Amino acid sequence: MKHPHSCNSSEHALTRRQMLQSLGVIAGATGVAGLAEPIFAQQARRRQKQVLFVWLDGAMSQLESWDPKPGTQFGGPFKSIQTRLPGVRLSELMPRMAERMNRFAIVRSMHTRFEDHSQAVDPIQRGDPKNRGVPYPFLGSAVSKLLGDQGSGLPPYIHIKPGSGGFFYQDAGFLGAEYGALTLGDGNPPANLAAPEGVTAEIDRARSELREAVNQRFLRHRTRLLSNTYEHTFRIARQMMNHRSLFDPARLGRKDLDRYGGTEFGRHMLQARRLLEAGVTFVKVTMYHWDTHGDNFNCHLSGVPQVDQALSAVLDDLTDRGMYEHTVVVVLSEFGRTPKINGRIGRDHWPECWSLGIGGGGIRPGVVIGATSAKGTFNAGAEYDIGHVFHTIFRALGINPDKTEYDNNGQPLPIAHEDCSAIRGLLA
Amino acid sequence: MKIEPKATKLERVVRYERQMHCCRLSPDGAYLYGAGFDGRLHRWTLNQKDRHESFAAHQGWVETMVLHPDGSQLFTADSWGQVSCWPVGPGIPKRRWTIQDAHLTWLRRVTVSPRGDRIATCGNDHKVRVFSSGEGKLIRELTGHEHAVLSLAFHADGKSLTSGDLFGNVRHWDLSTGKCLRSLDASRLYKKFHQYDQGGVRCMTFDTAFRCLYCGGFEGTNANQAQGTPTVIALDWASGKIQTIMTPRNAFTGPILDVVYHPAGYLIGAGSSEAGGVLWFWKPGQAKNQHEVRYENSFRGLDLHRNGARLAAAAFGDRGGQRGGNGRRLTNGEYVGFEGSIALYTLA
Repeated sequence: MKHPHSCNSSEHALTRRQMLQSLGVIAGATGVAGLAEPIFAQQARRRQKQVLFVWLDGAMSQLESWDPKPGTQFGGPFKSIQTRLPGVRLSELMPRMAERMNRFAIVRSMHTRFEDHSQAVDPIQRGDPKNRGVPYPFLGSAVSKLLGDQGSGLPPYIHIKPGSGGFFYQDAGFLGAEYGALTLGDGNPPANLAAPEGVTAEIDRARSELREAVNQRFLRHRTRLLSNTYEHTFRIARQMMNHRSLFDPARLGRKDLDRYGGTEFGRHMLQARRLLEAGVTFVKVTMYHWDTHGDNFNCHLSGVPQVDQALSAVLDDLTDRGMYEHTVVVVLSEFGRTPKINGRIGRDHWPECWSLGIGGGGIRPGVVIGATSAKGTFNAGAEYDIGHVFHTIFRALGINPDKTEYDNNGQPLPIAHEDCSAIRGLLA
Repeated sequence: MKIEPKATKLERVVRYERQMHCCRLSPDGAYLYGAGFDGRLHRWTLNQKDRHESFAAHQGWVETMVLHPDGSQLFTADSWGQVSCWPVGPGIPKRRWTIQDAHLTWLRRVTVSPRGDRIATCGNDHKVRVFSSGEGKLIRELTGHEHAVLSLAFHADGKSLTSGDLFGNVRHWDLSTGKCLRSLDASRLYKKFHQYDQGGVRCMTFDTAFRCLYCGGFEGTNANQAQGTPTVIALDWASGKIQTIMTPRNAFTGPILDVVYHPAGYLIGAGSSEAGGVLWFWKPGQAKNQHEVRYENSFRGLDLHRNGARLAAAAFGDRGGQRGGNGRRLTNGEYVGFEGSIALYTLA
């Protein structure tokens, strides 16, 4: 079944004006949730926690990546290779990550509920919480809220993806539009970042002062909620204008682009690194079209090396810059792919057992959590849902999910599924 | 011999619990060899009620095998890069030689020269290698492809070899010097679908007069799933130019994974799709097929018996459609995979 993330997208190109409009409307409709324990945000800010979230939309096969079963019934044509971790092997399509497995970790026994894209994509990114009648935020919105303003002067949640961009306020769920994702379609910046010709810095400043004065007058007898959201969006627009070069793909160096693989995905990962360097709290990079019901192995032969190279490069760069110790890097899809190989030499959807990669700040490096059966058909032993992963990521960021709640206009809500907990052995 | 495609009859089907990828009929017609995802060499003795035997052979997938022109030896190759040589005939086959790492990556095709003195292999490492068929010794390495090499065909002149890659580049090699003499264009068989490289020259064969090189695959796709139109590009050997673009008369979505040329003047292509397999019969120079034969499962490799009267087609799939699809699908509580078969057709 098709889903709106990979086809017929309703996304729209972003201009500053559109972003202002969308934020204002949604804020008015939903309100803005607070934190039950805001003190935590102050603690996190001092540690400058960040996240790189790599979303392989459509579902990358675990058997052609993190959990190979070569020479078995469902193993596929590829060999496995030894990693830096004794006894741990990856698909031969991931030689670079094999060399870096001492710095990364794998969860091989994911088990989730949904077997169709339309069911899975949103809930997985929202942590699949218990249904409380409100839309939970995507992880990027949640982290932006929970960590608060870390002082970068940039939007806290930026999403880089192929295709069109926009402001994805829906990501924020009940948190309110200001926690939505600023989305750079094809890695391009929002339109009209530069001030109009003839508007000098002095004129621009005067215009801002006038706007603020009018705002203050308007607010004398009105709630601050709507105005706060408008102020926030103006602030984001101003931030982007002040950092125009950061959003300019033309500023990416050829050597760096080559090191990241020379691919579209590599370019987006390089842009993600630059945004993290600039202090963006949460950067999401999406790579589409992993839904390989046919010709699975040739498709993964084309796709997995792109992930391997770009992911390895960003791990190296974050490490070299001293950022890896405070940046959580997570790579996942909405589910895995079937062990059985269908009549079109494809693999179908498989939430029964699948893998994700994770590393960086707060994550124990060089571990493999969980295992699948010899043929890779089902989990062997303990298995983990996405709620466990959310608990783990929050813990790695210094957030205690047992003591932190959302305050949705007076309704306290857990930040992660309360029946789950952090994955033991994955936290540093 | 003359054939009438409409008279093609399914003679028999041999089945196996694992997917079959390639097949060969022995020259005397007594044995049918097959191989596939389990890495074993399978042999059915056709005049003994299709008695089935299988032998440990490879570790990776076996997608390609070829018979020596004299019919005495069989060469098999796997996705882990191994090539082995086997005797053809009764008894437990003992491999005559093995090359463990003919290629360090997925080996896509093995073929044998018309005189039988050499075999050639190609793979994902962008290389084409030529070995002696008698001992498996490396004679020459042909470099120049910049992408995975998926298909091969020897020319009857004994001096030329052709190879086709993922991007639709076809190279004509001089075997005496190892140089690439020219490049031919089958790039219609490649498509960049978003961030993925799709298609390529999945198979190739010459006609019996060696005047035309037929390159098979698919054209265009709307997903990262090889869902394009099955297509054969006929390249005029003398000029190197495209002679005909051959596609099925009836709508079909999926690749052509093997082609053979029948001396009666038909190109036969094997198609693979979710809905099953198809054999297409084209007359040279005609863009649309003259006839098609449907099968319950998707086809993979073909073999035309040297008498021209029988065609074997390896296939795999899901009889009854109960094993495929998303999520947990159990059969009697067991997680079972897809199966394989080889369909034997009589051409008359």
